[in-house]
Amino acid sequence: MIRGTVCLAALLAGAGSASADPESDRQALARYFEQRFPDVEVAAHIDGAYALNAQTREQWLAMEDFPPYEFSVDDGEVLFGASFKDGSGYQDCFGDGNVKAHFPYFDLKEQSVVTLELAINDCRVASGEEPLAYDGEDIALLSAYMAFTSRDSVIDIEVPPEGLAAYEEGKQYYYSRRGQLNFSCSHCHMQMSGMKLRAETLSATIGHVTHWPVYRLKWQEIGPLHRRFKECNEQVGAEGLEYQSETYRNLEYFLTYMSQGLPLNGPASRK
Amino acid sequence: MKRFIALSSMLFVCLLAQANQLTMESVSEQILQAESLHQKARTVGHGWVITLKLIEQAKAALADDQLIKADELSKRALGTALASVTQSIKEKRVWRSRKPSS
Repeated sequence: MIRGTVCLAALLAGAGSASADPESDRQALARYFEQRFPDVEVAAHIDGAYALNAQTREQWLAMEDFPPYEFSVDDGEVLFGASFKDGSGYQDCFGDGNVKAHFPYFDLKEQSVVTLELAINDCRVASGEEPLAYDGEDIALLSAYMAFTSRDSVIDIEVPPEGLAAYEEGKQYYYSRRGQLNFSCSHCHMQMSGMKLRAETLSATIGHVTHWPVYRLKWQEIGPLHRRFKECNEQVGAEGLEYQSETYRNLEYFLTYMSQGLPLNGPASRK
Repeated sequence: MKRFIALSSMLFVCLLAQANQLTMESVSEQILQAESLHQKARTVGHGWVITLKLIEQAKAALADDQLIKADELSKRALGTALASVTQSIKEKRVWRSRKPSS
């Protein structure tokens, strides 16, 4: 009886750890999209829906000749180079800005996920500056510049044992139905990826985080990933959350691990 | 025509009776229940936009002394709030079935 209980406990423990294995999750997701789109390389998904629709890709590539985010990168560079009141600056925290490949990460001291935007504000606060508004322009411009300097770096983040719970929460959020329309993120970006929602082709989960921040024609400005999360939530009738809320940071953590090993290609333009 | 007038009169009497049964307190209580359920769904990330809209509309109707309208709106709010809580409970159980198997 005791042996049986021990065996059952061991099995349950095994099941628990299996459900929280980011690398297995990533590989399973990559296989899913390889089977769904046999003609599209996994790495090509960094271009989102433009990897799945030749016609819209052509239009997008034409737009990229004179990308609408170009001025944002220039403005971000100016902000990045400016000094704080104490004489220090962003370079003291982020070097030349090519750091995005290692964000987000799990902070062992704070026991929470740190995104690039959060780190930008931590850097400011440590130097006695006011934090920037997460829905404001400056933080989007700064992260646009840092995304640009990080281009072609390969996503390389870690999920330590202490970070597994945050990763799992992000995963659960991604696969859970919400809102009045009763949709999960995965319904649109897995089961229906490649299909049309009105005039738009739905992109695949893999590659979702590689190109942010994004200049969306709909927004007429550059905006962060969490703005898109909020918008997606609201499109299915769910209440959107605050930018940089713990839930959205965990979601970004999960999604970034799903794109582990893919090159960064932000900032980007989207419809 | 006579039948139409009779039916209209019955409907009018029914509405009048319903309005008589309704009180500010009973509708307020319904709104409070909807708010409480909505908050419960919200705390687990399952708040619905429509619930908040309906609650606000119900409150506005109540403030405007439109009891029947406030009652209808708060009932709808209660319904969507309940559905959002149900969604959150169900999803806790079934979300794993959507991830691709390793």
